[in-house]
Amino acid sequence: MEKEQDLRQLKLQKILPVVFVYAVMILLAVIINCVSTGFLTVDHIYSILKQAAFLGIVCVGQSLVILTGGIDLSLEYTLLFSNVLAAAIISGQNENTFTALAAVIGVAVLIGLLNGCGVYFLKIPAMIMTLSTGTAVYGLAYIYCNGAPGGFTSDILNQLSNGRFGGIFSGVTIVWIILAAAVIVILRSTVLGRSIYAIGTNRDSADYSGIQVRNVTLIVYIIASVMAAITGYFLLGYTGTSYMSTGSGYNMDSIAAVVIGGTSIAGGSGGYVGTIAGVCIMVLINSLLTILHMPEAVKQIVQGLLIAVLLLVVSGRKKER
Amino acid sequence: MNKEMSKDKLLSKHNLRLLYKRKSEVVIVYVIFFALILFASLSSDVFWGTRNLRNLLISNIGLLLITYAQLIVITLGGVDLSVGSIISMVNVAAVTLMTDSVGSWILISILCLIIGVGIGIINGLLVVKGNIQSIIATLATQTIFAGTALLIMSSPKGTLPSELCQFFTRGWGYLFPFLLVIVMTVLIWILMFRTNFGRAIFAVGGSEQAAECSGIRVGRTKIMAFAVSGLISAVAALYISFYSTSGNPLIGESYTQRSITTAVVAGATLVGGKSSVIGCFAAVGIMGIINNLLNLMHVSSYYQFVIQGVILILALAFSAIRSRK
Repeated sequence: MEKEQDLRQLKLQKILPVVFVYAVMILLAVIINCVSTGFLTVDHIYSILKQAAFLGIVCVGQSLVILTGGIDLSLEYTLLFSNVLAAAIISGQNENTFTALAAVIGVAVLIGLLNGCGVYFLKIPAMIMTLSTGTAVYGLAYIYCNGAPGGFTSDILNQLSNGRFGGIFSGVTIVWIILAAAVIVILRSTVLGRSIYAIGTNRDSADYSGIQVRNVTLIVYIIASVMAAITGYFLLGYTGTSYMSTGSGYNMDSIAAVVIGGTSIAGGSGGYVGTIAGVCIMVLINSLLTILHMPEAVKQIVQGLLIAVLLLVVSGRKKER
Repeated sequence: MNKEMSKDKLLSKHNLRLLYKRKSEVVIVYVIFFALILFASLSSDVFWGTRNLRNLLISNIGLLLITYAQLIVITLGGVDLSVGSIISMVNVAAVTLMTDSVGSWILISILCLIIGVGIGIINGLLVVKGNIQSIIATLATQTIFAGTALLIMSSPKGTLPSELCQFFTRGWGYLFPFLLVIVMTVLIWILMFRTNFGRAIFAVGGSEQAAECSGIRVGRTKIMAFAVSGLISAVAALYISFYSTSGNPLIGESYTQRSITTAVVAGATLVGGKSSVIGCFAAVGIMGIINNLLNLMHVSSYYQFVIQGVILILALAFSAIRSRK
């Protein structure tokens, strides 16, 4: 009996932070609806979900990396490179759409592999390793297009990103939903998922208990890069052409969303369910401030305050127990 | 600990080997540093020119100082993402408030230092009292204060008093910037290795629980370390502003990442408890010389990113393999 109670309490402890972020998310939505009456129309929900999808897909990778106790600061540059590469390959031709997807995924696998190898074999701190590869990839993106990205999206990709299905869903939102479902299932009930938590909790003991730390680390960094590349690919469809500023801010935003969602930055605890709410909170607060005609600077300040306050509340509750 | 140090000074063969073992990262950084200097002097005739060396010095002092600020927090076992926003805040404050009178120069400079310490204390309080990991706490403060700088000054404008800028970057026939580096380096070395506060930082970085058990006030040490880091960041920010002579709310953006990289190349690990003040000089030198060489060879700035990234990975890989042996 006692064991059962303990188990129940443990489950409650896990669920509470997630419930909390979802409550904040709903509260934000309600506030927006009050500030700008009738904001929550089908059109607006469609566009919010679309914006959330881009950040959400990046966060799929970032959550996995953070859960293993790492961090990936190369994501926004991988995203940029894939965006530039896809634009150049597609250059408006429908038949090139999926060649480009294959190409950006291929490049992303290489970047992720490099990150994973540096972190696992050379034991370079993830933050520094990914920052270094990120810097190199950023330079490569510039060299590839000589500082001026050429090419533009094809109709198919445009349809995939912006097309509307069932009122509130865009193509990229559906991709996000599929990926989110996949990552939640993977984390909950596969060997890979459980290994990720084990490595994040204690790498050495995971190693001793027979978990394939090497393979899991490599896979996680590869997934992260691929997710960033997919985001860059769909962003091309969204914006039409490629810009050198594409993706800037995604590193910090993805980390913030993951951490707001209740995942510990030290790794080992959390999950993607909370991250979804974290992503929505980031997008909603942005919409709210846009509605209020706040300048970019104020948006930044509020975002920073929000991160600090949400985390203070979460960690404060942890202390009480 | 003091006794150990004095033993090391006996330069017996055994102790030399011990020294190498303990400081192997620093030795490697200096090997790479001197190799780069050698390469530079072979591949470029102007590298040893007085003008080039001067430029090399005065353009990298800012990064060196900000690396010291970062080093303190990294030694503590944390990381400070807010140093960039401190630079931007100080730059914006100095440019908007400084007038042509000497009184205002002093007053505003002091105000800038207070801004740095203030942001540092906020970081420390969030980490200690708020129980938030430093990377996230400083991510939040970074966003807040970078935003504040942007709110005060929405686009690059304004200049700083030119006499003051001249003095800071070229004063006394370039002796002033040189002295600034020496004095700051010695001060930080003393702070880290010869004071109780420094020892407490190492202890907390090594193991928080062990530090707590041996009577170190962990919370206070952390808050003070963040405050000192903020102070040094503000000094760096003043120098960087005087070097650029003008106002730019985004001036600090790139420094956060660069300072973390140089501190780690210098031999600090992101786990904490290790650090090297002397290594910072070589680490910043490595970065500076790479950029300098690429400029002298007229390599497009696009390639500079790639080459910098690759050299970084190689340097880190090299020292990782070396230290495992």
